[in-house]
Amino acid sequence: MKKLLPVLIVLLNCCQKYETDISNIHDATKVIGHGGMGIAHTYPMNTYPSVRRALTLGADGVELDVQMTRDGVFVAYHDYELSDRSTASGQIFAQNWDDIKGATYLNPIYTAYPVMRLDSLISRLPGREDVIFFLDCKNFNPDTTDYFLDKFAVALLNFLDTYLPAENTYIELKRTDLILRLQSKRDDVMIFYYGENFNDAIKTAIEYELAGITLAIHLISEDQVKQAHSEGLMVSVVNVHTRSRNRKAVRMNVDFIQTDMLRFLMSFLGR
Amino acid sequence: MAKSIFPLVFLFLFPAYIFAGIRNKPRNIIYVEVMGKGGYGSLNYERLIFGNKLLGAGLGAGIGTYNIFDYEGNFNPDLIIPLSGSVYFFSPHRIEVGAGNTFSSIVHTGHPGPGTERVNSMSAGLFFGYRYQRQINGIIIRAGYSPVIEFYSRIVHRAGVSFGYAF
Repeated sequence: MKKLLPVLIVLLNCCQKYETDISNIHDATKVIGHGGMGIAHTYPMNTYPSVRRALTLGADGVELDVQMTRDGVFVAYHDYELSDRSTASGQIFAQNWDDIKGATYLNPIYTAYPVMRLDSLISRLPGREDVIFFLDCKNFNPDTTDYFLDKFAVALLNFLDTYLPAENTYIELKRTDLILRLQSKRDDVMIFYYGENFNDAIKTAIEYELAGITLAIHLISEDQVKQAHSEGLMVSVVNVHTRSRNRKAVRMNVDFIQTDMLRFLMSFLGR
Repeated sequence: MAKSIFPLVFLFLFPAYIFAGIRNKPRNIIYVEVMGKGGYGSLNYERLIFGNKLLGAGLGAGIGTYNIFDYEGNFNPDLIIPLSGSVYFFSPHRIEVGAGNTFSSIVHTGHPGPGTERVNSMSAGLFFGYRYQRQINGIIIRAGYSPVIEFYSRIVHRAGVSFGYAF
């Protein structure tokens, strides 16, 4: 019996569900699939199969990485260099969509999956009006001219109007010039500041009157989550790729968890 | 004279020499390969067509997959069927060289709307690696580099480890 005890403890721990009330802006933890099903899944992030699988499993929403080509097409892709993960090369912002079209992912288990246009990915999603979308705008383009800022803002707003539910879509940005440009054109876009540290993130979010902040989970504490909530800011966390980090994120009462362990988090939340 | 005749005699006798021992050797192998030529993993059968301590050869077929359920949550497995031939040298620690073709039927994004569709394709595959296999019934272990020449046009670098039984 003594030998079985540690096994039983481990098993009980695996089945543990979180039963404490959530206390945040909406009094609910929203489960967001990071790039769909997260890193290290059988589907590559930022592809339709990954996003669709996350939603069929019951995620509240998904996070997608967004980059804009030279000719104004949004592409769902994470890295600065296309060659890091795909058969294409160069940077997305420096090329037209026709130069990238047809590229597939490099990882030997992902070679059947193409790099996707964001409109192609989202437009075919059934029931997308009920899905929460986080668009992580990568903004690798070093261009700071008015022409570029306007082009990006107009293209993004047109995209939102065409494909996404305004009340469920959050734009993640690191560049304040783009935040200002978006706000100058529309005041109803919900923007999250993607911060490098808590103090900078909350300061920027308050200054620009944003909807919330996004931080890597190891960069924010439970007290800081409370502080953000007291300022009326929602909190979204990323880098949530272990069980312990998922549990921690729930206990911290963040509003959105961009998880890489969707099934575990759903199970932990008893859903 | 003897030196010049020896290779001819050896060549003449070689088929008899190599086929001579096969009757008492295990001729069937079943093994599971992790990664390698068949998706995340494959179940394979190989038939030894000749073999001795120096040289052996086999033909094999397998079935592997990436996903059993598609992204809509339905039972709709990806199918990967590798067909291959291998030649191996020495025993029981063998050097193995192989080549083959792989048929893939992968569940893919429906175009242009939601839903799924199957994309069928053929690819070539190679294998360079190590095999532990004795001349009697028993376990086999393989490990090696197994590049896939996808659609006969693009090399995808892969590697695999196999565990199985010869009988």
